[in-house]
Amino acid sequence: MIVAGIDIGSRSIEVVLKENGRVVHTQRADTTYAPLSQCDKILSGLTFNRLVATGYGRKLLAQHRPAETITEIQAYSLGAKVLFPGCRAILDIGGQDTKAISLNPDGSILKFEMNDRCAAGTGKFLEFMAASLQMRVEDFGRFALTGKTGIDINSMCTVFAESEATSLMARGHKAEDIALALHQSVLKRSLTMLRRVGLRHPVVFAGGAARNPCLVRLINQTLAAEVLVPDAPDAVGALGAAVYGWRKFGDDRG
Amino acid sequence: LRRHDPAPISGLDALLINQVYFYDDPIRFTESVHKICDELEDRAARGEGAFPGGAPRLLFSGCPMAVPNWKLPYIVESSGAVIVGEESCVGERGTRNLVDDSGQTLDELMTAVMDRYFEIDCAIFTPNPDRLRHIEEMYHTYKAQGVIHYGLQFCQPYLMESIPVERSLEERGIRTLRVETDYSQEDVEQLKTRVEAFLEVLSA
Repeated sequence: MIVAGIDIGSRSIEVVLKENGRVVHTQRADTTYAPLSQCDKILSGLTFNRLVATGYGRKLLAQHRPAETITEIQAYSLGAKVLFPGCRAILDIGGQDTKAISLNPDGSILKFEMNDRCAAGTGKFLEFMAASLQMRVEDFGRFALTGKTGIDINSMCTVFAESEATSLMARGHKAEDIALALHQSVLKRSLTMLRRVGLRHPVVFAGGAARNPCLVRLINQTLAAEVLVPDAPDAVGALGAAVYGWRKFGDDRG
Repeated sequence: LRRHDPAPISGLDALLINQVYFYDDPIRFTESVHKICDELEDRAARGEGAFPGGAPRLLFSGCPMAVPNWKLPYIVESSGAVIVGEESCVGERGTRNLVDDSGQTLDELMTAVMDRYFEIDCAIFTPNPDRLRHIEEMYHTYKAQGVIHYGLQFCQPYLMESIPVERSLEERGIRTLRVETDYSQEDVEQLKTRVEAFLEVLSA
């Protein structure tokens, strides 16, 4: 019995296959402007009995092939709990949205909040800023770690923050110091949301942005505690979808 | 009538009635409402509903929705939950604390009207403790399982009250989801994700 969990996000699609309770395959693809054909590509050649979809594109996929759908809130909380039982909060900074979820001691969801209408505090913000400093977003975190604190980015809006960064550069500030300030800005927005839903440790830090070493260092410093970062932080949703499918259909020999 | 499970009327239809209440001819409106209530009583007696029995029941609290704003009930009810009451001007606020019409003089009647105004618990007035009590009362009366707090963008009084209301309700064990939006259709899917996630949480 193989269950596939697929998370169709705004920037990337992840698939996790669970066979008899164990993860046997993880794969990732860019969403591009044709999410359905990307899903087809990533799913072709994979064998599974059941499919559970989450993320923005879940309903689109479910119209196209037989699939159960769950929201990414549920998927992320299921995935995080399987990876880190006993976790009490989840911060997911994705490509275009950020989610904060708080969990009760028994693992049930207490509160959640999503920011999916504004780029501030999301991966998009960092991507945009990295581009304005002529850098790949994959390298941006390491670059920012070489910077010194002392600059504050005041603008919340991505567009205005870029103007602010440009002004700072024009005043002679070092790019790495500005980069660090931009990372601090992302973290500030995200932590505000996390505090609103109830920040309790241990905190799981997931989503593509959790690959960013600067963000991880900053969040550990600010919370004065180590956050838990999964090995594949952007696959937590897909894992959660697979877990959901496994628990629901696991006894079904279909 | 909306206490019944299954709810005999959908939140969308009830909202439409409440919206029409604002501007229809009073006599014609009263006749229509009587007819509808007769039909609803009939439905309730037969256990017939606009939604299947056992559908999640949500109470809506917040800003009024003027025609043709049917966005929130559309989002909620197409996700499988039924709105069983509105703590709002497009809900019970208009029919609570009615003016005492026992006065005999113009002065007495005018004072009665004024007294009524002091009882209005809209968020534009502060302090506003009655509103919280009303939400709780409706939650229990209509056997709701959760509250959706709806704030219109730039309606600061409701947006300001949204967090204290949410906190107070959660402290009393009433699950609450805060939604802030405008009249556009662009964020419908984002809101649906939140509502669906809220329903997943309620059903856990």
